Amino acid sequence: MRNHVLMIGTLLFALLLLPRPALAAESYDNCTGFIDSVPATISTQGVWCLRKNVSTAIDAGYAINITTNNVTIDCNDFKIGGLGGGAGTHTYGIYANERSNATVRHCNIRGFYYGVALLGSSGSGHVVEDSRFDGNTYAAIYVQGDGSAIRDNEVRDTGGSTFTDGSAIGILAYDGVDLIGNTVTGVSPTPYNGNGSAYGILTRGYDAGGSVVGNRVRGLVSPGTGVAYGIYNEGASRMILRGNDVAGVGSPGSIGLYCEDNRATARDNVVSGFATSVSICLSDRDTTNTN
Amino acid sequence: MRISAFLAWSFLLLSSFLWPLRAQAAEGYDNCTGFIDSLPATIHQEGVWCLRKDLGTAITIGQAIYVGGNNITIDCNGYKLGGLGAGAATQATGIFSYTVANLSIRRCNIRGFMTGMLVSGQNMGSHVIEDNRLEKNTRYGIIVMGGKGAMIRRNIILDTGGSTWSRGDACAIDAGSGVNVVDNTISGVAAIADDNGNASAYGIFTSYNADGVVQRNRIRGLVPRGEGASFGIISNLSNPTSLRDNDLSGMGIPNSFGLYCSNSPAIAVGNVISGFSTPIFGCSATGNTVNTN
Repeated sequence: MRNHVLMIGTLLFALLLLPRPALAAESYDNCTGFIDSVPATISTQGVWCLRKNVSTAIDAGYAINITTNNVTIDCNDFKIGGLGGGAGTHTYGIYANERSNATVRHCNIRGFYYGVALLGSSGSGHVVEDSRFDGNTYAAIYVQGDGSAIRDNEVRDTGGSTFTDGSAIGILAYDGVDLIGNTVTGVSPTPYNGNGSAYGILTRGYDAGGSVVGNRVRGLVSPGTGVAYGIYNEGASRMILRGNDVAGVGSPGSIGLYCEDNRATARDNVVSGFATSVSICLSDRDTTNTN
Repeated sequence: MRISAFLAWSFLLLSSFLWPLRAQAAEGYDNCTGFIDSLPATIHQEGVWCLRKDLGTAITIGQAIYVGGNNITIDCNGYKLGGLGAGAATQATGIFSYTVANLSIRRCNIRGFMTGMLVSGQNMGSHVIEDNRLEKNTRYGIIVMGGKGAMIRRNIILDTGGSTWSRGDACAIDAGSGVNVVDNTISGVAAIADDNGNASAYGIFTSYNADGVVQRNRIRGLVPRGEGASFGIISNLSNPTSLRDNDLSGMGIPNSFGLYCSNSPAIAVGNVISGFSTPIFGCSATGNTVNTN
């Protein structure tokens, strides 16, 4: 029996030495450098990586401030935490202003006033992808700049700011950013005088077009006389809303898809549980459920 | 009892062996055959050739990277291949190949060349051009010709045009002879006017592309000059190719065409076409959404 035990033990040890199936063949090879603590400022182009969870309790400023073009922040699924800043925080998780070609990927960003904000009318070509946003207090993602993309992110439980009350936004995009394949679940503003409006996706300045495609929006909470908007398009535009699934809770005044003029086009969307399913947009082949 | 405990531990160890390891990091260089560390560069050997830093060149003619062999992948790992230093009169190409098979170009950030990438040669198929960002290339973003079964997908092509060497036209994607063009974003095409004050802007131009499809692309920001025209997608001599589920936003100006089929009626289905003076011309169209508001 003892020999059998030894044989089984040896076999098991040998098995452990064999290569195991990995989910991905990735490494840190192309990291220009590492972000090991926050706040941090990135002023050199390249790929900047996380290799562990980082967090901060600052309640103003930026956890990561990008000050040059062509920067990628690859969190490798690690967390950038800001919950310590509290509900009154006005700290940005990742921030860039008037920069081009910033990329944010594989991040888990929690508890900031804005999770990611890539701003500036002269910026373009940003990408925010494959990231998870949880418990950000005013808006999870804010990207400005034509030719940018926000894709395949999961945005959960946005809202609760005591710094800006009366509204909360899952994803905010200016100037022709494409929003593709994102999930927005739970947007709940802190009421102002008892009222608050919730925006799943809010777009502005899409004069020359831009696509909002294949997103899923649900869980919008609008206290008092506030309004829940699934996708709200502010300003005249040629934007295209296609193939989105937008679910409301039947709250009074709620609107599934809102366009400020009828040059915007909605097609193949499924809009359910809103007082008004599609407002002003040219609507074609949309499915609406008002039951 | 001891043996029972041993067997329990054995089960646990075996179970842990069956779990996949969790990947925790970004791109790797493990599969790189070699590295491109300076420009201009010539690649003849099969394999995966990688960038590991931003590269730039001010050459005004020729190509930054010449690919002269089959079965080669250029993986830029998101780094920049820059040609802006050559100025608006450049005639240079970012990545060039001719009569090679199975070329892949991925994750490149290509800027400032007259042509971002040019892949040509009859019956040299199976090229894949994916996940690239092309910006401020002065005449063409991507050209793939003669690549039956080739795929151009998930690229972002911004602000094409501005050549002072070749004025009058600019085009983001030019593809022919069996190329699939899928899920790309094109924003901003604007050429400098020719001597007559005219210039045309093309989002996607396909020709002899019966074996390819143009699907799920997003096209906007096409700016013609003078008597020039703007075209979202042109399909020339490509019957029975399909133009499907594309989103096209025009500027609401005269002489603008969303889908333009010439010399044979390609099939157009499921497209959204907004803000073009002629939304669909010459195509066999069904189930499209046209917004002329």
